[in-house]
Amino acid sequence: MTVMEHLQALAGGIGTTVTLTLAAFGVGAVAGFPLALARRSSQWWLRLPALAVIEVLRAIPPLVWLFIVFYVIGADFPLMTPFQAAVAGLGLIAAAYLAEIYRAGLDAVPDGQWEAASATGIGTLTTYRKVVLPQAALIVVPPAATYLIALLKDSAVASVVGTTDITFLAFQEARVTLEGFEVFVIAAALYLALSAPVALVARTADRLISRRLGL
Amino acid sequence: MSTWIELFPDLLPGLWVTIKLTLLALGLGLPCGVVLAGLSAAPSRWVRWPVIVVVEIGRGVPGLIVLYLVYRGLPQVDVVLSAFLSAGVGLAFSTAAYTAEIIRAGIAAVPVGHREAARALSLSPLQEFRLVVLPQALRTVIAPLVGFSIILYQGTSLAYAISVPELLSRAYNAASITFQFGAALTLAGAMYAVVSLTATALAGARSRERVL
Amino acid sequence: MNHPPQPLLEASDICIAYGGHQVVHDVSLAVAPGEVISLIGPSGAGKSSFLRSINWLEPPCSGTLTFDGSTFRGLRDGGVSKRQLQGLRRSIGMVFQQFNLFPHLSALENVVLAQVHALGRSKAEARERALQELHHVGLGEVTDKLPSKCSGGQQQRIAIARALALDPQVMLFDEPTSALDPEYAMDVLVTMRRLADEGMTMLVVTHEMHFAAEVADRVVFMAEGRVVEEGPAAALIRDPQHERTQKFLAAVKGR
Ligand SMILES: Nc1ncnc2c1ncn2[C@@H]1O[C@H](COP(=O)(O)OP(=O)(O)O)[C@@H](O)[C@H]1O
Ligand SMILES: [Mg+2]
Repeated sequence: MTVMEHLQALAGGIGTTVTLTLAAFGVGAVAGFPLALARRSSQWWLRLPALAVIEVLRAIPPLVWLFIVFYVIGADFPLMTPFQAAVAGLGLIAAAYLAEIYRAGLDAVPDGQWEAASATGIGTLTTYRKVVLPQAALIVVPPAATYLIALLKDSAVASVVGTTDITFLAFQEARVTLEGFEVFVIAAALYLALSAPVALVARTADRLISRRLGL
Repeated sequence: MSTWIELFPDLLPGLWVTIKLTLLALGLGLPCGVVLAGLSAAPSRWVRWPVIVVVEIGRGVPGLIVLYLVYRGLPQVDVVLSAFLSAGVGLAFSTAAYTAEIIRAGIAAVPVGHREAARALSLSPLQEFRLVVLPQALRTVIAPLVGFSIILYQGTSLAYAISVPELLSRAYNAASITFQFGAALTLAGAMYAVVSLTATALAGARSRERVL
Repeated sequence: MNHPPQPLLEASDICIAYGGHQVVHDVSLAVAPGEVISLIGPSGAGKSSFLRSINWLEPPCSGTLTFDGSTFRGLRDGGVSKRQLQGLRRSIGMVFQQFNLFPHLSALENVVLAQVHALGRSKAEARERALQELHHVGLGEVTDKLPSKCSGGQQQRIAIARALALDPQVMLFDEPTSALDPEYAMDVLVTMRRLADEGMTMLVVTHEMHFAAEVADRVVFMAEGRVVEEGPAAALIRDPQHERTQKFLAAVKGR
């Protein structure tokens, strides 16, 4: 078997890997936001549950979460596909990690900005929208991009419950052709190639931020 | 809850395998990480660049692919390891790459002024590293290393995929026999979480990044 | 002060460049034993670079340094050996703007470290000497504290004690009070003045014109990498000759 043939066999999984990663990231990016706000809240009944959710989601391995979503929660949803289970499972974990990244971003906006904004008499919501979020959003880009790469790698575990991503197809190709060495090296190269542009974004954003915000 | 108690003895040997796997990967990987970190600061780019490439590969490839490569790829070039050893070696590779980066960053974080002060005090380059840079780097590196070890502990669950009888495998098998998927898998999850959270709390290691 | 014929330290035609961009051009300076010289000038003038070239923290690309009978040549003119460098630095103490104390060591350990590892003194001897130096700078009470637990003024004085413990023949100071609140800066300036009175040879980059006028023997004004004007301290500060110096001093005094 040639490298080209192996590559062709795995190429079919690229779309699934990318969609899965982006979908889980999307779930996390949306769900992580209220989680971050609750985590920063001055009300203990918001802060503590948020803290518990974040910590537990981060303390259990992704593969175990996936099993719980697929076999335990999935038992009540017989039509749930492995792909959907993976999006839900990884999306939950992403929410926890991204909530922490958002929180760090919000914390990084200096207190002086809050004070300056309230001194001008605009309300809390406006301060958030016009002053804090635009700054925090920029700060959040590099760690969020780094996390996106981590999520891309985590997405490989979805193959274990039957999502036909790169890893799943590599596993099959290796079993059929008995050329596991080449096949998994090619799979590794595919993941590296997919993460390269994201790493570039993270690096560029990092440089932009240190220049713009002087952080 | 009572099913959890019934299942617990079944899962306990799995927890032991998981811990052994974590320690094996750390024991093999951390020394390699230290060496790689040292080499990544080598004056010669013929040393530096290959090291940087290896570290970036180790950090960029999914842990699962690494495990498959060791367990299902290496036999093709006549390196046949048991499932447990394959998992240990594969995780050690990732460990080496991540710890190398942590240690490199720790060394780079030592303010350049402190190195200059050491030089101005006529300490030799070796003394500068041993007496001024290393002690400071070690401090900044402890928390991320503990954080990484916790992630590694979780990462050993990947060994399920190459049939190492670790915690997740034990839980899955118990579930397949008793059909108590909910109880078995949540118990396994709880066992991962309790160890992770305890270690996190003990080490005060808040800055965990998602890796492997 | 009259210049004695034999300088302790002589820098000749020092040039310094960063990545091909030259920032210090042919600066020469002779320092007599016991002399206190203030280097003043606008930020970016090359004062720090020049000062740091004297203990080879910033190796000059060309020019020579003569110290205590040895000659040190810039990178382009042959450079220096490791042995030479060690000797040079052993004899020249340096104090930084940001103190640069070692944060993992107590005040005492900071002062002990190089005595043991660079001079080869015994631990007991080094400890004894460290205590003595710390007392000397008025810090008998902070010996066991970590730098982070000390005020900026204390940290800078620990740094001075650390350098003095190696028995330097010359002390270099790079804006030693710029990072300090005025009240703490005073403590440091008092310590430096005493050191000057005791006969230490000192080169001080500073923006404290009072210190320069009262303590220094000579003032050197630098701008754009060159020495513009130099002369007896009080006279130069009171009555600068060059327009560039006049402007700078007017701006500093106006503050
Ligand atoms: N490490 C460095 N790398 C590049 N340029 C530097 C470096 N240090 C100083 N410079 C540049 O050299 C010039 C002189 O700097 P410096 O010696 O620090 O002046 P001063 O101490 O008088 O403010 C400045 O233009 C500065 O930007
Ligand atoms: Mg300066």
